[in-house]
Amino acid sequence: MSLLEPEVLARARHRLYGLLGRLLVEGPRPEALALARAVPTLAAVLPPPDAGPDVLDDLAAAHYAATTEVSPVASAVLGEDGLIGGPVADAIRAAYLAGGFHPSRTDVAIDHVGLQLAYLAHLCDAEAQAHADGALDAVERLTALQQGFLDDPLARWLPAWVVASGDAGGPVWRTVAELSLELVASHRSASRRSASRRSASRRSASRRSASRRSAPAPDAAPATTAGPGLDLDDPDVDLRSIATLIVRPARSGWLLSRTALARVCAAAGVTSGLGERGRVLAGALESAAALGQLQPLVEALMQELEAWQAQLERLGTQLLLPTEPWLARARQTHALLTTVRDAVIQVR
Amino acid sequence: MSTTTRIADALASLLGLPPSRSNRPAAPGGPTNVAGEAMPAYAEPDAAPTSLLEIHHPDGRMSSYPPPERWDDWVEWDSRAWPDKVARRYTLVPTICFNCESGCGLLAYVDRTTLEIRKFEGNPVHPGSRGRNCAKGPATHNQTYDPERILHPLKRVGARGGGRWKRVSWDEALDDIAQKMRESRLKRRDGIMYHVGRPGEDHYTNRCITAWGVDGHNSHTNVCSAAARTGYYLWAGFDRPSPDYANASTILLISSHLETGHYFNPHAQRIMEGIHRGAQLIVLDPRLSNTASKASVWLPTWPGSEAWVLLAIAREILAQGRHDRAFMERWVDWRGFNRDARRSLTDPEVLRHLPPEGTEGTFEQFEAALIALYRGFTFEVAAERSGVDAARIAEAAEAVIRGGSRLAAHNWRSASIGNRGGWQIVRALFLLNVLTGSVGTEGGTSGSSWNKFVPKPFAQPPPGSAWNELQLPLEWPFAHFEMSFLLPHLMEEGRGNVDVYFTRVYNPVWTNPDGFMWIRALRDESKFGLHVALTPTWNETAAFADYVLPMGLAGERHDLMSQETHAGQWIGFRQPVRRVAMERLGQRVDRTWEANPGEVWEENELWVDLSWRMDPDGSLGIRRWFESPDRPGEPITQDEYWGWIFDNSVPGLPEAARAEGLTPLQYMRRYGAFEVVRTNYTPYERPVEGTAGDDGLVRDPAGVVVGLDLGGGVLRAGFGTPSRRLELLSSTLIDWGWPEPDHTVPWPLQSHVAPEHIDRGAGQMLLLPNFRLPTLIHTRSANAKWLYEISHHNPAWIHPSDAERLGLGDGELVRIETEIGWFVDKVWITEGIKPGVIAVSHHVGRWRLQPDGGGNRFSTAHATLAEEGTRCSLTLHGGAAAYQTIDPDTSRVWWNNVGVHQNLTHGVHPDPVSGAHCWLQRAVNVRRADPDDRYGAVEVDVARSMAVYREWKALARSAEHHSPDGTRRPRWLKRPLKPTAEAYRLPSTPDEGTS
Repeated sequence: MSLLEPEVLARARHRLYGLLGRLLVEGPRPEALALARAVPTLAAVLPPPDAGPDVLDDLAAAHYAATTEVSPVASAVLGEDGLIGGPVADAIRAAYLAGGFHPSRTDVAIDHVGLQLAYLAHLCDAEAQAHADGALDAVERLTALQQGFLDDPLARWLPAWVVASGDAGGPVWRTVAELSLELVASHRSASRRSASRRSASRRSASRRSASRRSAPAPDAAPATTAGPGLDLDDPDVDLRSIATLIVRPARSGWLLSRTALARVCAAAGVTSGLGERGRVLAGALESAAALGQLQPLVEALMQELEAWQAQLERLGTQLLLPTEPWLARARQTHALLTTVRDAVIQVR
Repeated sequence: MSTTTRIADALASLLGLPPSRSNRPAAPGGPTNVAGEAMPAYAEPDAAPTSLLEIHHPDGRMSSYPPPERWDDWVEWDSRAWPDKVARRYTLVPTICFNCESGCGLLAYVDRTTLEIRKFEGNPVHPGSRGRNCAKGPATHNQTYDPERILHPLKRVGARGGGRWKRVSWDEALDDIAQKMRESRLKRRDGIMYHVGRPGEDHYTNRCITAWGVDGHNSHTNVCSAAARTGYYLWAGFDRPSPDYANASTILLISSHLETGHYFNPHAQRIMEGIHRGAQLIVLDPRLSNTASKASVWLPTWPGSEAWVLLAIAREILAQGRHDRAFMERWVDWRGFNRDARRSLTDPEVLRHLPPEGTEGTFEQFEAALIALYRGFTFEVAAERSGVDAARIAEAAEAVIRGGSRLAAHNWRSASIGNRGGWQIVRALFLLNVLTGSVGTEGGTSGSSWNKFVPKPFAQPPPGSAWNELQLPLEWPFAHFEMSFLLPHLMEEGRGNVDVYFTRVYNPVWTNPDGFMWIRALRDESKFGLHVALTPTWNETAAFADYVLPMGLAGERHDLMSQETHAGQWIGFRQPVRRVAMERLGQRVDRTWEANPGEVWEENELWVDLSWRMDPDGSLGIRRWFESPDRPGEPITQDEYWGWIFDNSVPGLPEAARAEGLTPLQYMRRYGAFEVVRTNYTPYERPVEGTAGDDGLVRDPAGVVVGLDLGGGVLRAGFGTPSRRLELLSSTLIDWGWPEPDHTVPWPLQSHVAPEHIDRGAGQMLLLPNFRLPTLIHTRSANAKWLYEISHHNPAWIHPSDAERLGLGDGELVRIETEIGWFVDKVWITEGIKPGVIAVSHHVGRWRLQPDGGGNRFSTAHATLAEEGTRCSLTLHGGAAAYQTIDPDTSRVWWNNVGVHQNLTHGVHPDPVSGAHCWLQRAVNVRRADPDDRYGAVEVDVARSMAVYREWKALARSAEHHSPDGTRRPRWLKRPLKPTAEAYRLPSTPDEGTS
């Protein structure tokens, strides 16, 4: 038995997706932790099996922190309004239906990262069964479904979520998140290579046929996110508008975490407050303006954004993920902030 | 690990598939030997790991370890490769740690393919350490692969101390050194000196020195344990205690002893056992040491006042009538007390109980005199002298009384070696064992020699006939042992020189007090004709050598060791582990250096070759002691030497070996240790055979005293004293010119740092410079990064009240002035030190004279020495820093501060009786450092050094004026190598005996 055998590989993916999805949805349940300890990367950060209840409580608290730092839901990242639900969630529900996946959980959003991984586990399980049955058509259909879902939505939003989550959940949940992204990236790369080989094979068999049924180009980027679309010359645009733009990742190209937001406020000496991130940032901008601290606050925002860009770019290069649309938006946001900062300096 | 590998491993793991191989190191194809030059690599065999043995012993032995029957071929997962599961195949070779004198067992994991050492762990079958080690044991690996270690023989180029060296062959070095030894031996018997730090072995080199026919053994004992040894020896004829901690009811420890410092492992694990079984731990220490922090009663006594507290406890025992009368009547030399007390004691209240002169008297008379003798040592008096609350002393007394015959007590260094009269602190401590009858009992305190086994070699050269006055000058007839730390001072007085001087893993420039005197003497070729430094690593003294010869570490040499770790006897066999592994795998090795890194050798083979060349034709009578017993005319091999000993000199070993189908040598090579005696309680009760004389002593047919007659035909071994009993009153001291009552019986002697000698109002304090760290050991551990990462600097501990008085804040620089100079350190403000005492630890403060050599850069500071007349100074240039070598760990050095070398500023304080250097210093001024003072700066006036030496020498009572029998010292006192009786005769002229 070897991972070079497609059936074995599919079965292994089924188990690993299932485990990671379960961890991300449920947190540190004993059964999942027992499985996780078999995975070297996870075992390296997990507490020992005989850890007391306090340790498990800490782990559960870290899970909560990780999933509230930024929402682990695709629609909140990809959606135009930055809210949960809407067209992004609907598209994901449709994908599940197409793949015959009916999640039983109703306590988390349909487009929660854990459920998305569970969907891939479901597809891989079916693929393994198809290999065992020798049902090559089914294998092809299932791998196409996997590839499609890996490209969109997972590859579009998961890198941003992993970067934004940062260390909020401590080493365990950071590792779980990173391992999930690495699995998606490696699966996606392997899937695209295999699709490319299949396509080439078909082309050589029948050029005409191949031209009619060509697979999506391997380098085609997923749909880009929307642009900032904010006119600073517009008299209705104020600090609150800027805050609203920033906390909508699909527009700003930036998934601003709560921790990063707190750092920005601290740098400018204003309180970060509690509540929804858009309101907190708006409050901070207004307070800073009142205190004459707008320039340091904007500069702190720019610094955070630059760090975000650097991390995302590095991740994209390392894992061959399509992060450029994010980076393009982020550059526009950076330019916007530069304009604001310069304006502040001029006024002073 | 790459992402691909990580994901592949993660995927594989959930199906139970083996991990990916992509991150495994390449497997070398055969033997390598890269220590010192590269980091080792290990092979990856196609084999499955073996399970650890799980066995639960009723005592404190380990419960889980590789089963010995699998040691030849042991496979386990490589922890460094984790989370990959990479198997490694080893042959496990036992050896003995070389980093301190405890002799703990190590187990080297030697790769069966590359022959590189993967790690050192504990040897589970070693009776002393029982599989456990302190940090210094495993760190042997770090020292072995030290990228800066000395790999080849080096010879000085240019002036001595100039820092320029060339590599020479072993042949070249041996020929030159042997020729100079021969020249010296032909003209005198005291021209060759072997100066040893910790021997780490029990007889081999002493046999060599004896064979050379010179009085040349010089030890470090007088800067270490001499005072305690004197105290114990005068009492009982053994020079160290061996407490049975694991079975004790009460454990009483004085100051920063081996349980806190660098010898702690075998004792500490047994103290823990004792405590777990309910023993109470009492610790006397002005400092909150590791051990004090575990105590149930901590008595932070003023240094030097310990005897007051101990005698107050003794008084309480006597007052309550809880002393063990039966034991004392049988084993205390009360007859000698009744007979000789009038020659010393003057207190009428005591004298009135004594029997009439010329009569033996009764035990009851002795008992009454004893109660009267100590009647004044009340808790209140002890509290006043020690600065400890009387109630706490009473609490300790109750614990001692409760402990009864299970009182395990220990003092080796610190208070005894710290104070003038420190040997009397030990006399007072052992008095408690005597009163409670806890001498040699289960849970009590034995003598070291009872719990140590030293086998005899195949042939022993006869004792020498010479006496080296530079080692044992007449002024200190009770010195225990050589007055080694005075060597440069004696030379400065023109009292002699040395032709060939070996320093062996010994660094007097740095370790001893008054180091500038050593530097000046070592530079002077008229004082030291040839200086050969035998050392595994660079040190401050080797910088002033003519030859630096690389010697092996724990896994690179043969030695036999035994140590009094508990109430049994064992031997441990240190081995060159690569050599043993190679031989197991069928390879031939003629010289140990062929298997060691570079040309690192072992002294045992070196001595054979050197002695052979010293006496090539046998005309000096030296060579024959180095000939094989089986192959006449041929040099002896290590296999032959140890094979003979294990065949003939270790009771029970041949039988144990035979039971396993092994020769005794094979047994020792396989297990590395052998338990000679499981328990050895009250050996003084051992029946002996012989003839009892009128003096009550029993002699064998050769006339040698072997025991005493207890009456009624009961002949017993007794103790090693002249009376064969425990000598409460030392007639020897009376005979040799010390009749004062505060010397002859256990009594407090006023220390040179007693409170009345420290004017705190004038800025004076007591400098406590001799407390130890458990993770370092003087010079020897200097090339272990792992250990220096744990502890690397030595701030001055100071109490908050003193800091406030001096206006010092935490971390600020303080200038500490001693009698001969000053040094600058940073202060650490803590309530863990007694007010009035400033404490700076030993072990750190190392320096080197070259920016890139002469010492490891993570443990030493680059320094400059300067001299202007008699004023000498040391200036540090920075400290440790990260740097690039073959070892990635050197780039991870995060510490800078490597401490201050305070010993340079210590004047020599030879105790007038024991000869021990009294380490505690009177800090004549402690104050905030001057603005120009730099951290670690040292300045000394060596003119003051000599003045202080002379002040202390004047306190001594020379044998020349006080010997009762025309000898140099009492013959019954110990010497490492006792010469003939003739050599003990006082010289009729000053030069007699030195040629």
